[in-house]
Amino acid sequence: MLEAKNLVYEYKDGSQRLRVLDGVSLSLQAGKSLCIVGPSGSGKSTLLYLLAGLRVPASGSVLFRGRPLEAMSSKERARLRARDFGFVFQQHFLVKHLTVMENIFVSAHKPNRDTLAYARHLVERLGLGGLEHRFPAELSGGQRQRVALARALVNRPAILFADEPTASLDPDSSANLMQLLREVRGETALIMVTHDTRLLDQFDRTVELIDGKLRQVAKRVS
Amino acid sequence: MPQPFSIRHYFLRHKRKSLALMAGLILSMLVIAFVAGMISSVDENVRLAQSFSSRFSVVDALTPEGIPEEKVEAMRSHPDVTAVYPVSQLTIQAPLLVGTTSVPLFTLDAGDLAEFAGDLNVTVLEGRLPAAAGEIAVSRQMAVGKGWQVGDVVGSEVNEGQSPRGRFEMVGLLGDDPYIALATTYREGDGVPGYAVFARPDRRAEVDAWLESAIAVENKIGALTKRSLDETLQDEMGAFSLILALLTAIVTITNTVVTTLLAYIFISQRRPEFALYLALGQPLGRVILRALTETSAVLFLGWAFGMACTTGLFWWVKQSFFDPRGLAFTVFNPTIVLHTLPSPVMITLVLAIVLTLMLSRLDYISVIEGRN
Repeated sequence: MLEAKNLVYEYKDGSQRLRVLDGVSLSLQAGKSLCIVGPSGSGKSTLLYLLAGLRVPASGSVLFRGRPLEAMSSKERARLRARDFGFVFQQHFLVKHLTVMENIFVSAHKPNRDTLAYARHLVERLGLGGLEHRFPAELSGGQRQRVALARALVNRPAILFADEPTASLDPDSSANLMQLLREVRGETALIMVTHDTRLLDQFDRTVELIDGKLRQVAKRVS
Repeated sequence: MPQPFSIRHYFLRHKRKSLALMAGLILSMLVIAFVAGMISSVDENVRLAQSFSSRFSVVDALTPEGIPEEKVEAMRSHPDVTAVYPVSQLTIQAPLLVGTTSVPLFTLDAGDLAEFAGDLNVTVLEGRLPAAAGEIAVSRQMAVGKGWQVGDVVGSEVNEGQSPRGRFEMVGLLGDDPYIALATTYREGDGVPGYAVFARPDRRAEVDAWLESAIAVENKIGALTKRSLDETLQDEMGAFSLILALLTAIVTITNTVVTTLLAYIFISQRRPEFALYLALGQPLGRVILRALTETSAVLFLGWAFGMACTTGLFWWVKQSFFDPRGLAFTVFNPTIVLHTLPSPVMITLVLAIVLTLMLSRLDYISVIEGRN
């Protein structure tokens, strides 16, 4: 469903050009999960943004259902992100003046009764029942990330991109969020960036990004 | 259904910011409205003081020779002229809120006055029309402004500082026209009479043009028509209008700059929110339009509230200062709308440009990553 071929990404640091990704290739099947690990500053988030069409590679290609994202106009990529992709960022990025339910509806592609019913279902499944009318400031860190997760899933996206969603959570909240994520994502494929090696078992596949190149991580047999 | 992009939600959940924007706009509106309202009231009262010109024109002799009989005969025999009355024109200084304005006092032969008043459709509110020499009747507004009552002797305030001065007794209060003053001739042979010329209403413009071209003679005979009076008033009010335009422009520009800066600061604080919308795939145009609609709705609400405050303030000013002095004052003045509306419109236009530039250049991923 999603395929990356020889991705190269560079950015300017003063007069120097730093190559963050150097010929990265990977693929993801529908409904499967992929974890990207690596040291800080290795380019994990950049890779995630390239795969999600948020950034464009210097060279190489990202194909979603066979269509190269870099060949699309920025409007087409925006439409793709709105319809087919879901995002959970490292910070929850909830809108301060909106309630839980309104924050979830921020990304609702079709704000109709079905979407509302599904949003309510997600709220219940994510343990946010009764908090629908609260504002982000009235929620704990874990609750905020769960609202962000509901916002990412409300359109039933084909792929969920998660950028270290557990980074700011304590171990219990982190485990709880992962558990919920596994339960509610259904047929949605998942690509997640994390530092937390304890979570690797929960993914179908894990890759490690070191010095701009990907390395497959063998799944542990428990 | 949750409405994350409801303008009402935005307003209610950002009360301080919204009220700050509204307060800035209301304050400047009150300044503009006050200046425009006061100057308009001067203009209104000065024009009203000359409102006789909407009913008849006056042909005046400018030299002691007077108006030749053939010219008088020409006026009387003109097919579109309905009446010609010999009149003398004196003046009464009617008070404005600040300063005074000259109001013409028409003195006529006692025998003509009733018919003249009939042509003017003058209503007598109290007392009667002047009938004998040296009697005067003025509008209620003027009487209030001057503090005159029926039975008073008011001669010393007529034609103040000019000649001839006379002795008049107030015999009546007149309605309809706020600045009408009629008197019977008080001393035979005083002054050189002019003529009040009434024309058929549908031919008024043509008759006025004829008076100006065929009857008026430069430096000898003057024709005071509606057009010539409007022209004179326009010249006299030009300075006032200039002051009004300058003050309004200064306040409008200052307000536009300050409010735009304030709105820009508020919008800049929402960059992470806009970055999120763009990252989630919302079209740039929609995000710009939404941010602009939210801000401009607050601005136009502030404008509407400012108009309401202005109307309330003007009503109080009219009741407290203008009515007791017998002065005209328009509470809902369209000029105020014309002078204040550009402010929110300008701010909205400037914000539209600023927002478009800001959001089209926004590196939303950097904002989300916290690097920008």
